[in-house]
Amino acid sequence: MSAPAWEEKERAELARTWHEREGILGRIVSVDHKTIGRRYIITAFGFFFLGGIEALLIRLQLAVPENRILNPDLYNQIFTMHGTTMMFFFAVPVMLGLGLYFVPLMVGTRNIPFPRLNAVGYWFYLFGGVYLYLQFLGNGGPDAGWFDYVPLASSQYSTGHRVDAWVQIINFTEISALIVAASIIVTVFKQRAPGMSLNRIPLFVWAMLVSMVMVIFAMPAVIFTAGSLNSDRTIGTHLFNPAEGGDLLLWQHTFWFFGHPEVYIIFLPALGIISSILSAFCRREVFGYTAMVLALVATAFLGFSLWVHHMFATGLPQIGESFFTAASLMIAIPTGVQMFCWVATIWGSRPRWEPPLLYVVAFFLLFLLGGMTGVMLASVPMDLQVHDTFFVVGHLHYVLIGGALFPVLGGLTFWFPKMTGRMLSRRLGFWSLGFLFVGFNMTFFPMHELGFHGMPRRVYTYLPDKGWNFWNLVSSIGTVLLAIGVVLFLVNVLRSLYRGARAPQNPWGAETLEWATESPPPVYNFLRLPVVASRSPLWEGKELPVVTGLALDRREVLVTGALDGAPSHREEVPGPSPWPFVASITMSVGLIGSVFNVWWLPAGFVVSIPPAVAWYFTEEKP
Amino acid sequence: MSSRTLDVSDLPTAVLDSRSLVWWGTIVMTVIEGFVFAITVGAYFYLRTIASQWPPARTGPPALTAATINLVVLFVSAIPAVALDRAGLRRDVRMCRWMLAANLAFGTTFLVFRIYEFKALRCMWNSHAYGSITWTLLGLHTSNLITSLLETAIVLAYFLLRPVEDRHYLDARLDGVFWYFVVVTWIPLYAVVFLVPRLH
Repeated sequence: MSAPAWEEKERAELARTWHEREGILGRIVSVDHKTIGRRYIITAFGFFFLGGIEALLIRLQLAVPENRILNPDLYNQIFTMHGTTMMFFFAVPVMLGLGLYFVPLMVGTRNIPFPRLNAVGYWFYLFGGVYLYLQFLGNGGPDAGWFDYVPLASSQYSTGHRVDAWVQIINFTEISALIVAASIIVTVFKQRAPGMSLNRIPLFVWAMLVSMVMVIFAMPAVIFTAGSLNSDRTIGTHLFNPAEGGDLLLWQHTFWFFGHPEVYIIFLPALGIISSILSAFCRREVFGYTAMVLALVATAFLGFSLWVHHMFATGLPQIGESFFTAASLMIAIPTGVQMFCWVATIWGSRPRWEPPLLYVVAFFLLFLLGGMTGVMLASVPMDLQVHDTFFVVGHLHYVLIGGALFPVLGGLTFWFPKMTGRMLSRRLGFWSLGFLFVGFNMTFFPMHELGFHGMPRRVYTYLPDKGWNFWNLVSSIGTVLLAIGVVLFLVNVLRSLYRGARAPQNPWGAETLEWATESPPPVYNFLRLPVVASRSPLWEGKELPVVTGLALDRREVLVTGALDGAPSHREEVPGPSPWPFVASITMSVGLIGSVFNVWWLPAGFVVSIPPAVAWYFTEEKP
Repeated sequence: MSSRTLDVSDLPTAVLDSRSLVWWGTIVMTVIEGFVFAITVGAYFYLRTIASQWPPARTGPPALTAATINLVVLFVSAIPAVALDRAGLRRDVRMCRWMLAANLAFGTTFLVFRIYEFKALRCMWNSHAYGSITWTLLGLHTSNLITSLLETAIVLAYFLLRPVEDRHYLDARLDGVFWYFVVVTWIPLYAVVFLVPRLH
């Protein structure tokens, strides 16, 4: 069966208009949301492996008492690098990548609105990470923990450039997150397929939207915080210096005003992934759409009013602490609503127990435990008892690995056919999940027990008579199983890339628009943009209506109304350009140089002007 | 066939208002910038609450003359910004050029007075925490100002050198919109930096 003549012609023309060049140069100038999204995901996993190796080193050191494999100084660097890498260079960017790749496909458009800016975002993320690891290799890795409390992180107690490096990489990651947030927010509000009113957006897209709005409000706090520590350390301001009227707790307030929402920025997209997988494998819409959306929004609001629960041990007034206890407990309500909606979705359906769905089940179990210990920690007396112990380490890993890594791996298993055109091996999928699940629990469950027995976090070793030996050894052995699970997942991905079965357009029979185009999608995403009339357009049982009349000879997207998704106008989005890359380099050099001499910052700004001008003057050229 | 397709070939290919993508991008950017200001103002009042004297006695409250003149300059500069905004909407290339130039002139004047505003603080960023936070506030606003001036200069250069299309009229309008933001944020920041230290 050959395609009709008009289809051949339109495909050829679209492919020419949206063409992405091959080779190194082509990669540098690329502005396609799928290319950049995929890059984010791959790079994030690169950092995930580095952070994982650091985790293995930490567990190797703590496996037995009085171990001497790592010295205290290196240990400090390694746990700081582990936290920084996993939070800033894995968890957030992998979500940004998934959002960049799938949101435009799910809402049915051709590209994001600010593709060149988006390229800058990726380069910043990459350069920041590379710089961090270069510092680390030169024995200059940050060593004051991933939240760098002052006064430890002040110039008085942290000499040299270790903490300065940390402060700068924060700038890199926050800029990249803000750029992606702006791109995704505008895509969701203005580029949805005709007919996709706000109440028909897929839940994953809702989750990304809410999460990106949180980025907009959380990142400014860390811009202020990191900028202030930077100026305290380099040009002698006194914002965190009590001797001159500054305040140490100001750091904790502004850091956690960013840091706590950061957890939800990571967690909300994971919830969206869960909903996507559940509806596909239970073959029904997720129960309680409105309640689900409201729960996401409520989580975002509450997420900004809990930061003080990280500071219960700082001696704040009790009345204030009670407020934050109440807020911290309340966040269990929207999370509970979602849990019940998911259970109701599975209830009475005929779920297909494929690997992605099993990841969801693992998420339920692990996140439930992490959530429970979270509720425990929200209570001030309990928190004071286990503050800065391994109980907290256990809790946060249940929340972040159970609540984000498992959904991400499930999501990648789910979407791998769409992204690559190949199916992952089912058998290897079960095995890797098995190792991950057992290894994870073996590693982190004992940490709760260790915390109860008073083992503090961030100590490089412990004495043999503390009673901590057994559980530490168990935990370290668990890490090996966990690592095997990760390696199996990687093997599965690499093998399937070349030898996996060919994936059809919609292998799981799912309902959302990303499955309405080829696997992998062509560079222009859809031959003709779809028109939708329900929340589950692919389950309508008939062919989707489509948009015609969009220009084929220029990179045109359809702009629709923010609320109702009614077509408003057509707009051209910019094509490939080398200037974002050049501007990223000049600005990065300025930022990194300022670690060593503050004048690099204005210098970097000035040399970035010519690429910015060139960028603007070449915007209309493909 | 016709019932299964939605023809959009009649829709406009450029709009110069809040429906456009770049407009939304600009608004998101101002929200981010606005929130950076909000957090910094929050930190200002936090430090003020714990201080025994605000400002420290050896510094005293800032002088008002330069800042107040500058406030007036800024208010007046909103006039060419409005004119630019409207000229962009009318696709009036000559007026756009003039008003972009006027914007640039006003912005530069403001920047010059800004130097005196820093002097009027009567302290340096490294004198004490009060100095640090006021310099931060003023510095943040100045960085917005410089960004806006650069943007204006680039758009003006384009208007003078290249054939202007619909998209560039939108950019001219958005240049005006970003200037509104610079003006509007300065009103509360002026109050915080120059008036609050006089409260007791």
